[in-house]
Amino acid sequence: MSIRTRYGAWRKGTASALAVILAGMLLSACASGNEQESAPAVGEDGRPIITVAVQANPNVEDYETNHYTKRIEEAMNVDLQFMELPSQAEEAITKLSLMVSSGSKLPDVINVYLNESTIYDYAAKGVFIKQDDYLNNAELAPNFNAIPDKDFVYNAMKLADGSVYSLPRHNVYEWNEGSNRAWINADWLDKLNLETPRTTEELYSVLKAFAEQDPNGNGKKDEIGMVGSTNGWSQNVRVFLMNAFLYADPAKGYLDVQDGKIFPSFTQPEWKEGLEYMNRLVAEGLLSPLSFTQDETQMKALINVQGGMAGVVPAGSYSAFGAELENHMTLLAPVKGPDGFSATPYSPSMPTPLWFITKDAADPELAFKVGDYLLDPEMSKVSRYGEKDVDWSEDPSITAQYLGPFEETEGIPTQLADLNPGIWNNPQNKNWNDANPAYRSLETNNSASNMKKDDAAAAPNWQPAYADGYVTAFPEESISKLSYTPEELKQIADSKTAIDNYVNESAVAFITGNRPMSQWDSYLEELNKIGLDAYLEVAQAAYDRSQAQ
Amino acid sequence: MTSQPLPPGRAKNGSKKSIRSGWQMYLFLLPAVVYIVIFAYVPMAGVQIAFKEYDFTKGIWGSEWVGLDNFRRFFESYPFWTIIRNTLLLSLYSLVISFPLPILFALLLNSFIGQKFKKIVQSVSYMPHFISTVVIVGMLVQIFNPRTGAFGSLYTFFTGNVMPDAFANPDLFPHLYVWSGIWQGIGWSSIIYIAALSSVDEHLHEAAQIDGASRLQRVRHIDFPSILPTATIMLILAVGNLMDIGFEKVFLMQNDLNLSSSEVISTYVYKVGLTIGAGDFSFATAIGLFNSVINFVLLIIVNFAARRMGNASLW
Amino acid sequence: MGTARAKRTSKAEPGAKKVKFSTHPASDKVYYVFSGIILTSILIAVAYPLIYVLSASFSSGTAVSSGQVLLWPVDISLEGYQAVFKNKDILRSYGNTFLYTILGTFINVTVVMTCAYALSRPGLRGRNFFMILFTFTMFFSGGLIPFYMLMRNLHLIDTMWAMVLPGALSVYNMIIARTFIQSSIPGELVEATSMDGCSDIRFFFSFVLPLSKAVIAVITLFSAVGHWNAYFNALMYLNDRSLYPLQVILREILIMNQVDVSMIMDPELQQANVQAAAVLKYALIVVATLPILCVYPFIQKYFVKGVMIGSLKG
Repeated sequence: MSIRTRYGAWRKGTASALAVILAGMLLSACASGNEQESAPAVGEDGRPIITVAVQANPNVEDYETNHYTKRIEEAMNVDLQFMELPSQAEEAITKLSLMVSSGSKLPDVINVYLNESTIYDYAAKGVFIKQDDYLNNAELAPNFNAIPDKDFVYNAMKLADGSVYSLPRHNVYEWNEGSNRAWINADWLDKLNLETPRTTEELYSVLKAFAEQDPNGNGKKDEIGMVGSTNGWSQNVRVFLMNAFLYADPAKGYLDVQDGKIFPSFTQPEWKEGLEYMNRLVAEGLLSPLSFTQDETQMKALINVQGGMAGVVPAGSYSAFGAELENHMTLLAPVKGPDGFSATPYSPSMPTPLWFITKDAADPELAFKVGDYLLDPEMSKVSRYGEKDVDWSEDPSITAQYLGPFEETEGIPTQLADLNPGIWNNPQNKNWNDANPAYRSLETNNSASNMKKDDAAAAPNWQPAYADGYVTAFPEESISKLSYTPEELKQIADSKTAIDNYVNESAVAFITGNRPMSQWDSYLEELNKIGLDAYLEVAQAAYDRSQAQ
Repeated sequence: MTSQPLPPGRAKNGSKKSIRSGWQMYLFLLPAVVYIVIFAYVPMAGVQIAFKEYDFTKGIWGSEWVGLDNFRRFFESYPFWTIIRNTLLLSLYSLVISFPLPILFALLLNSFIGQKFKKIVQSVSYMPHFISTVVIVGMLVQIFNPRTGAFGSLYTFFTGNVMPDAFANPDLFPHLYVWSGIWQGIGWSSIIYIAALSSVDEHLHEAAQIDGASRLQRVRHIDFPSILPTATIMLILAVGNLMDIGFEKVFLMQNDLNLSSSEVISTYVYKVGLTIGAGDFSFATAIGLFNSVINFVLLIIVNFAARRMGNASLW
Repeated sequence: MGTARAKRTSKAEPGAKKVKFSTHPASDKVYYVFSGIILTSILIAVAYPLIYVLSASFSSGTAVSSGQVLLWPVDISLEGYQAVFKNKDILRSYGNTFLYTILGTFINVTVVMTCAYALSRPGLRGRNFFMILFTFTMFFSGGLIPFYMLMRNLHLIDTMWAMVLPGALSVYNMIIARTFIQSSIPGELVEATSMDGCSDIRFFFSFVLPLSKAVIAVITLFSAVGHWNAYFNALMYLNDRSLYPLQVILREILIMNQVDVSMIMDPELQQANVQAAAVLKYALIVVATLPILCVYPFIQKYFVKGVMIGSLKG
């Protein structure tokens, strides 16, 4: 046998073998689309099974044996079974879409945080079912209908198509509504005999004094007036300062609204004034340009030294300051600009949509009822604080020992004592780490405390000062949310990304002097070239729609 | 007779060899071919979603054709040319530096005296490969911090001034990116060459020593030629990888001040994806395909050139 | 340059490594001093991140997150490790990772070496066709969705084979192995043995494998590290927690402790997790890489010279 024929024979053989494999796989690909189980599954003990997709969470030891799960199962007489999706949001969404794409049977309920366009996409394609009828039925949804501001919650969950596909996790907490706080070193103020600055010009002189008069007393003029970081929670220096000139909210892409009309903050003359002011601070060494390059760790390393290194620091959380600065940094209320303007970005507490019931749900009504049960006031507390009377208590004899955050200023006594604050960031088996429908009102949150009255080492309580300085600086009219349709998003994705990039890049370039202020007009032109007008038009449409609802 | 390595890519006495390479050779090939057909070629049909508007309810085959829309969207995006330029600059610079340095390192290490020292250097140098990107970038930012970093402190110590911020300068970004890559990867990338060097025949060195060749000469005339085929292949593969700038590291090193040179294809696409929210599989596939086509064409060109010059080549 | 001198002394040295430094020719001494300086500086530069990671992993969260750790541990504490090992899935996932790594690497090396051997033979008909067939897959793939469907149709979802089979053939590794075999196994050997009637299969086992120890070591290392670090396939194709490999669990721990304001969690509460995250990052690296680092010395053995053709040729 010649080599050629031998090879030829091999080729034929292998080729046909491959063809068989291929064909087999394609056939199975066609066949496997419809292998669905029907009829509601029933658990071992006769209780109906509800399958729930949740995100894996290392702080939740075991969803199956969880205290919170057990309570639901007992109250609703169901057997909850879980499917864990990846803990990172994007990966969870990817896996979910793979399951949907490949025609796998979905769990009854998807209890995973999804962004609005994803929800809309799934809703529009019939993967999630509408819950409007359930929600409006007081029989089926006793707990939802007991929510005092249920109309607001209902409307906030509405998608662009006017329907609701989820149950809310709504936690009203003022502290998180305006996180762009700044802190000033009170020791330095005292030492240099300075008043707390109330305007941008006063702030300028205070920073100048800080930088020149060695308030940390180490004999070197190494003090930094003001410094922030690029990635810490609300540690962007630009936001605090810019809001003395005009309303500038990074969470809304620096868009603002007046009399129902959307407009960009970043093209206004006041924005330019703000940049000029910051440019002056940088030029005179009062605002550190490190704010635009360093991460939070570096910022902490810089400021947390004995005696202090920076006078003013923007930070959402007081945890930015280490033991060296504890009780030395104090809340600085928003300062007024040259026109007497002052504001702080306002992000009202919005309900997070969760508990999506899928098209594959065997008994959607039951799945809904279980979800509604999670809105029960006590379950909502279990969801956050753990097991009742073990991890938290409403017993007056216990709550009396705790100091409420507004007890001293407004006389609001503690209603809920958080006995085990560590439950939040440690592995536990008491709840789902609050990643589920729940409702806790402002009153509930303002009267919950984990501070013992006789505890001398308690962390300072900034909530009253915050309510005084910041909550009052919230604008009257603001964008609470812009819900785009997927088509709109696709339309603006490119220009919005490019504009956001360009606005930030240019602002920092102007501030640091890398780009002269004389180029302001070419900056505006460039924005128009990227497609600002089209972007604003779409944003306006989305805003109008949300107002109409 | 000194053993001569096979001239790669071509048979000397074709007829004889082909008799030898009978059916048994195909048996060796079989598992790999079966694997590649099932796990690569069967799902490859999915590449068509780059030309479609993927709708998961309709599936890959049922989704609507949109032709080149996804590509057009990318080509017409505002910063298209900037990100292409940044991507190419970064990857070319990276190639020029991080391709030859591991080879030099391997040659140097191999030629050094002292087995223990060599072993230590080699095992320490490959370890940073295992450090996650987040941590490496964090260290980089720390070292270069003008106020608190090691370089910053040294600079202040010697000059009395505060060091300029390296991360604030777009011109320095490629250097930071590439050289930190060397720092983390030189040992790991040199492993393949160190292994190749271990197959150099000791007798060649002995013979050359008797002829009076210095160590440097032996590196040049014995060690280097012996790893040349490996190096050529690695170069071909590296060029075929040119468009793929790792996303994570660039993204982590970005800030508003260096964005003009640090925005690359992958980071931009990521940001657009974030804006859209829902995973846009079609768009992502289209960009991937765009990169792959360029990479594959580059690989074919370089492979052709290598073969022409009589070096090792893929085919 | 220096050759004359070298000629004189070189007679005295049979092999470079057994010779005292003082007996090297002058030009070589200069070379060794130079390369010694370069290698030492590289050693220092490269050791720094390693020491840093180790130090940070043994420091307190506050010290790490406020950037106080520069080289040595600050405020020594085990809190990072405690946080990692508080997770009850860690040990089981370690076991899974070991299993996937060993099994996966074995399959990889087998498929890669057999394929590389076949493709290294110049006489193989259709060799270029196969090379292009393989190389093509390095660039073009159908993406996630069809692959997920394939896995589903092959019933690999939620089995350990989902961790082991995809990537059984790394084309990259195959090309490296093929290049190595081509350039280090002499053609004469093939001819000589074929005269003796040695079959291709026997040639593979008695010549190719023993002569390719170095490259097998490299490919074993590359595959093992790849399997050890793999997490994405696990995230997508495994639903059963008891099958999760270590990296998935470690990523979960890390992600939970990162602040992501867009996520569902209360940002102020999440801040509490940040400090823990700072030190966790480093402890996780140590926990995740120490075992795989232990593999290296075994691999490195095969990089030593001496296992060479000379010994087999005779």
